[in-house]
Amino acid sequence: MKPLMAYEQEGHHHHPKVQFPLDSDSYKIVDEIGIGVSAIVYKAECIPLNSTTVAIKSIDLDQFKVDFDNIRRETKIMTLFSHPNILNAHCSFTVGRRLWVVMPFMSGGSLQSIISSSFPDGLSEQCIAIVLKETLNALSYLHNQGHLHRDIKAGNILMDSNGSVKLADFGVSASVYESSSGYGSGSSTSSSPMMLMDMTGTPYWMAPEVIHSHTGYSFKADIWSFGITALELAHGRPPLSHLPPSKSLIMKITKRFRFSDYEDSINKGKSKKFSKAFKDMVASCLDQDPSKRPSTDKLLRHPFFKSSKGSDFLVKHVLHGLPSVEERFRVSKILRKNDVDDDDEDDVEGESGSELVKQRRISGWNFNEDGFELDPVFPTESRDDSVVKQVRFGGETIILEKGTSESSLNLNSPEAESSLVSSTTTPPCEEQQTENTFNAETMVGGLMALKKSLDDQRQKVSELINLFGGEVMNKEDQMVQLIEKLRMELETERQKNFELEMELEFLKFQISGASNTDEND
Amino acid sequence: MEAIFFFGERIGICISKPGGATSRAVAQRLRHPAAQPDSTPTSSTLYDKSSSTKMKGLFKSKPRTPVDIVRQTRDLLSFAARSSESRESKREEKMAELFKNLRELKSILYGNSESEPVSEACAQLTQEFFRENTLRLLITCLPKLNLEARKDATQVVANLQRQQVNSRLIASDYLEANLDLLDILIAGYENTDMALHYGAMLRECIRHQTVARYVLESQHMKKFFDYIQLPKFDIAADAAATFKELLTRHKSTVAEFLSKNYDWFFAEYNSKLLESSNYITRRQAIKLLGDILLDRSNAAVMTRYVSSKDNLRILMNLLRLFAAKQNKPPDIVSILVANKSKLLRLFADFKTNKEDEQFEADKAQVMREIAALELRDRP
Repeated sequence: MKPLMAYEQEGHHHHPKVQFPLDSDSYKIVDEIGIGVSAIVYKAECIPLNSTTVAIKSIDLDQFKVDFDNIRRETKIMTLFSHPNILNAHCSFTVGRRLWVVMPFMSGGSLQSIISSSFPDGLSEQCIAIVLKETLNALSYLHNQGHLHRDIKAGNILMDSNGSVKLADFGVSASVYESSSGYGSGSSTSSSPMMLMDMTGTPYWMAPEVIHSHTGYSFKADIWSFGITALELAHGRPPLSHLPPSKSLIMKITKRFRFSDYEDSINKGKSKKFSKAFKDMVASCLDQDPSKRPSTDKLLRHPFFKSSKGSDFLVKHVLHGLPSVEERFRVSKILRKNDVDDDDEDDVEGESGSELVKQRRISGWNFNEDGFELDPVFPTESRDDSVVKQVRFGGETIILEKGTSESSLNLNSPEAESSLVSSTTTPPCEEQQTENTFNAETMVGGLMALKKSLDDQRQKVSELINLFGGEVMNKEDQMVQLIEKLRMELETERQKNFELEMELEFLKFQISGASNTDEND
Repeated sequence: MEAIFFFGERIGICISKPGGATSRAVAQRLRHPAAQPDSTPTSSTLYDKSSSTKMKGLFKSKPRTPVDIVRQTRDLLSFAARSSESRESKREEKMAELFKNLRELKSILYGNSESEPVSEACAQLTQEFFRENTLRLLITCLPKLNLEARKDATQVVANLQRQQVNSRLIASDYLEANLDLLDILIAGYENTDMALHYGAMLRECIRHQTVARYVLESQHMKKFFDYIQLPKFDIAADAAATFKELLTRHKSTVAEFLSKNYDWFFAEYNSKLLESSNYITRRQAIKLLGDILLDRSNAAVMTRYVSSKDNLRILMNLLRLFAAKQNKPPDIVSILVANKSKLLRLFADFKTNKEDEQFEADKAQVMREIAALELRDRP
């Protein structure tokens, strides 16, 4: 422990002793700014406190184990952790079956939503340095308190109107990871159904030792994710998010995200704009050997962060002209709706819009237990959770889906809707009915989904028949089960393949990084 | 206190009393980084100053032993206890010194990013700590510390509960002689600022059976029924965790307590918790009740509980509430499914002396619903 740290932070410890009311009547909901399976995030006003703007995360407690150990732990962290770069909770209280966590409203939203709405090619290096340094301050504080964040990514880094940066969602979602027996303890020993969640996470940010974890992992896993987040901020998405390549999606993705640039920069070594210091900093975080990655305190002393500018710079270069969180969420909602009505509008929608539309459609299939394509290609990371779920748990039951999606919910950020995505019960047939353009690819996709949906319904009908004592469909059931089993095996294989590809890609990146550095010198 | 969870669990390494399977897993996880210090020869040149030089510079002037630090902490605490007003000269300075000491104590007990805790140092520290009234001073002065120091103090106190000196938990001996300290800790739930700190300390203290017995048999036990329904969720949930710990950790003590205090305890439990207007409270209460009654050591209590028609009616209503709910909380479902046959047998065997149609109807419905539960209801 570094005893000096405490005193440097001393200044921030005066708790603003404003008491936020503990009843829902004192808050006026203004707008929805995020949605997940087990939680909704609102922008709200606290009426007795001069209508101060707050964010309220309303969590469905029925989806958690009854001792609420994880929620308790995390609300406590949000109360007791005090750092200018960590999002605190004003208070939390139950409202019927839900828990309301009242937090400061971060009007800029998450870096992920900022990037996907306005900086598809990533932020400038100067902006990245500021954001990362602030994040690192928070991470350093957490680590010195003996706490791991375990889900560092742009989606969990929030920005306020004054350019201040706060790390969030070490809250409930992290706790869900914890409840799921942790990455470190292996997956086979899970006794509770919720345990299966240990397989979820956000793989593109996940350190190798977390993914393979037989030996366990620690603080250095956060450092890895921090490095991936740096790349995400630089490129507009985390690396490898295109793997494995699916032709149709890649086509769509490249159109709006200019994947090719990124690919080139990685694979052919023509890294266009990044400084040596930046590349060096990221490379040190992305060392395969956790013990070789620097600690937070060490990273803070890295030259990359030496001359980083103040938050004003972010206001000027990032926040200026940015649509509000509410607007971004509203747009995404409208797009979601359009998606159901008008599935094939993809190509005429705006950039981020059509991307969302695409997500919706695919994710709709996802929820339909077996009616989806197993394809971890999504243009933005907000979808990764559902993707991973698919990869690993295709064919699992609804409750599992819910549980897992829960873990991807983000405070304050429109990205939270991604969780909704995976749970939307949009029947694929609906899309099919409203199909109005003849895009063969979409058509086939829709028909496939419809077929899967029919299979699904058939299975449910046969279950019902069984329930009422009929045994007509037993043979069918057996077949379904067999298919299910084979599917699971396939998932496992695909997952293995995915992980190997990820490793391979990482190695390539390292090699090209090394050669870049050489060339540039 | 779970804010200390990671460090808290590391004690398993230093002393041979790991808290259970989970904490062992965490301990293993945490052992990992410390075992491999993070200085890398290739990248160290990038950093202007290595952390070890910083540490050296810090400690060069006064190489103090753990015993020194405890003594100085005690003196500073005594000072803090005496001087309530901030006017006194050097107060600020001394408080800063105190905070620094607390952090050093924590560092010795938990280790830091450079080193694992040394059991010899831990033992010395613990011995000196409980040799005099340091714990009392620390607990009473806690409100005077700042947030970081409170957290450090809480982690130190938590850790000390598990430290063995000559294979004895001397914290337990100390607390046994100073049981009134528990009164302060429990009353902490009524103080918003202190609740989470005192609550975390309390939960560590009731690991000692004698301490748990004291709390169970004290008048404070009644207050928990209110604490766990406090409006602030984090505090209420903390109190609920302590309540659960009290009623499940030390089996024989719990069984003794329940049989001695059966009447008032279950009257309160039924009326304040199981029939609470708060859904969350009801859900927690029924789970805990299950944990208590289904524990073998409480078999006698269980028999007595289920032989009351009122009790069963309350339970049936709750079961009906949960069993009939469309989106059953998964944990409830798994409990119901796991205990399906037991529950059905229990209800089938349960007969009233008099004819009671309503009761029989309720019973039949609950039995139907339980019987219909299947494993596929859960993920």
